Amino acid sequence: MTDQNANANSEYLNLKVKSQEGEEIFFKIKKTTQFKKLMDAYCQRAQVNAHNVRFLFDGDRILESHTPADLKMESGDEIDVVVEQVGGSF
Amino acid sequence: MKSKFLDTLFDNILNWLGPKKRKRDDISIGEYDGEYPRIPDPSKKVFKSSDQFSSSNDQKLANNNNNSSSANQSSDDVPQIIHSVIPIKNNTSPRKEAQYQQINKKDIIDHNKENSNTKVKLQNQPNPKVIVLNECNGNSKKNEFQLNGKKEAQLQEFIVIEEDGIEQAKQNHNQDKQLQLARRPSSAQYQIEQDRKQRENLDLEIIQLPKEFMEFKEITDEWISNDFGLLEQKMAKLDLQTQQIKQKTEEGRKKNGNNNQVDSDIIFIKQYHKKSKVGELLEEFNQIYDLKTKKMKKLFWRFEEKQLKEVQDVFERSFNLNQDVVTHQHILERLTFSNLQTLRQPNWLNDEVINAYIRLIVQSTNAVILNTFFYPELVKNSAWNKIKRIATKNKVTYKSGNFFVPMNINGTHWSFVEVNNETNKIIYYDSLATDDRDYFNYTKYFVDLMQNLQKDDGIAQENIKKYELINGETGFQQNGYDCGVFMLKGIHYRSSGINGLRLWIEQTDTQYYRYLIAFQLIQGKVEICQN
Repeated sequence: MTDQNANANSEYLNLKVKSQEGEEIFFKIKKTTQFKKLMDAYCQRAQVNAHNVRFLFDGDRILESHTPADLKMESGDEIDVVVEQVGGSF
Repeated sequence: MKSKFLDTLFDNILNWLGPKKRKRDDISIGEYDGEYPRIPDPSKKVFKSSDQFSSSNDQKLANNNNNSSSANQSSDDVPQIIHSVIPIKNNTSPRKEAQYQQINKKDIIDHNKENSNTKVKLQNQPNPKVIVLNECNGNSKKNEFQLNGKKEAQLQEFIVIEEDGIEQAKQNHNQDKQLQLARRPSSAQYQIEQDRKQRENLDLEIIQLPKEFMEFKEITDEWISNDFGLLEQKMAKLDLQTQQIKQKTEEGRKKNGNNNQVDSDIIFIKQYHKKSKVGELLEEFNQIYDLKTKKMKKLFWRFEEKQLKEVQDVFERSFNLNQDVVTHQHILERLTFSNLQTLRQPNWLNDEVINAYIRLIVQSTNAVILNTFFYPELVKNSAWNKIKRIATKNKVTYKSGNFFVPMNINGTHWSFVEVNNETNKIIYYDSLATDDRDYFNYTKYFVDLMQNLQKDDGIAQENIKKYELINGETGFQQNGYDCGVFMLKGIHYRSSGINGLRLWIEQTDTQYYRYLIAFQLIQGKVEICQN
């Protein structure tokens, strides 16, 4: 009971951000803060342009205005970072 | 004292021996003179303030870059270009606008002298709208230059007056042209012909619809190949058959009383015979044609000039490219200028545009279409739990219906797969497909996926369905950049139940489709009502 209560009441989540090459960065984030802060922090850390990168949770897109509470995230969940896809011919 | 003495002596000897060298005292600790070669340590990339070598290394760098820095200094003296941003308006170039304004002032007044109706309207309205006639629209740059050279009287042909007075203006325009024909027929005729040709060319470029459609073609081909003479022969044969059956049934009735089975046959034949008459066949065909064209009207869109300009302004934008063009609630992808400009002719399509358009298709057809991010998960061979979560979220099953998956291959090519659960087939559509390419390599992941989905529900291995791999037919691209368009429209047409993609999407249509996709994305819906 105590653990459950602690989990339910805790404001912070531990999220793992994973790039395509397998690099992992851990973030601690409030349930109610928007993902924009996390994205900016990641882009600065990994030195990538925010316009060329997409953040996915279970194959669905995360917007800057989303919060972890919107997507019903739990601590330990993975966020995938994918680079822009392009195609025309071989 | 001794040391000082020795030093001065040493220096004097050096001076006497050869050219001047720097005195010993000038060289401080760690300072580097250009004459003594010293290799900088690669390990010490980040210099601290406490390091002795830092200052020397910096100095060395400065010495090496002396030439370039001097060049920079010289370039600073040249005045810099300050970038000025000019907002694009709906009307094309400012030069053209200026032309119109100049012309309108004169020509409207000229026209008012002739017609009293328009004069009143112009007086009432403070800012009268000025519209250019269709004949003027058709003209491209050539006529702009002609306009420059011409005198006022001749310019009246090209300019129009008011929204309400368009028909009158057209009449006047036609009358003038007829007069011109009478006076000097050769030049006027030549102009008219040129105008017509330009209009035709424009139509071909922008709005070229595929004229033949698979399902409609099957019927029409039969109809065309059978001459009307042959049809009549068939009808005569049918007449004979019916008469024979009638005789038989009458004989049968006489023998065995009423027999319902034979009666029903006769009725069927009668109905068939009725329909085979030419007039009724025509009605049937026309009904089919109307149905098909109704389908078409949902899928195609006849552009107006304003709408084309809207799209073109987005395509030709050259500043603030990361700004949003529009935002819709149901499209999570960002439709920035740079993303929409991937739809411009020689560019490769972006995943952002493709995912946004897929959302629109799903909204209109209720088909099951996955993201572009699903296929890489399969290729990566990531954890089964994750794949299953995504699959169940998107309603992917093995039980019924079909679903579509767009595929990005090696980061250079777009194609898609249709999984049909009723015929147990996995169909691979590729606009670049040839015999050399082994499409098995790209679709084998889906075989595993379907097997694993069935295993997860606890189906025994004997009862697991086996899927066939098939290479589907599509139109083929003849360049190196159009495959995204072929894929998007292929998914759209297949999900709305249309067969024969080869005839629906051709190389000549891709320019039209690029504009259409951009326009639909800006509008936020696929189905736009026909005017």
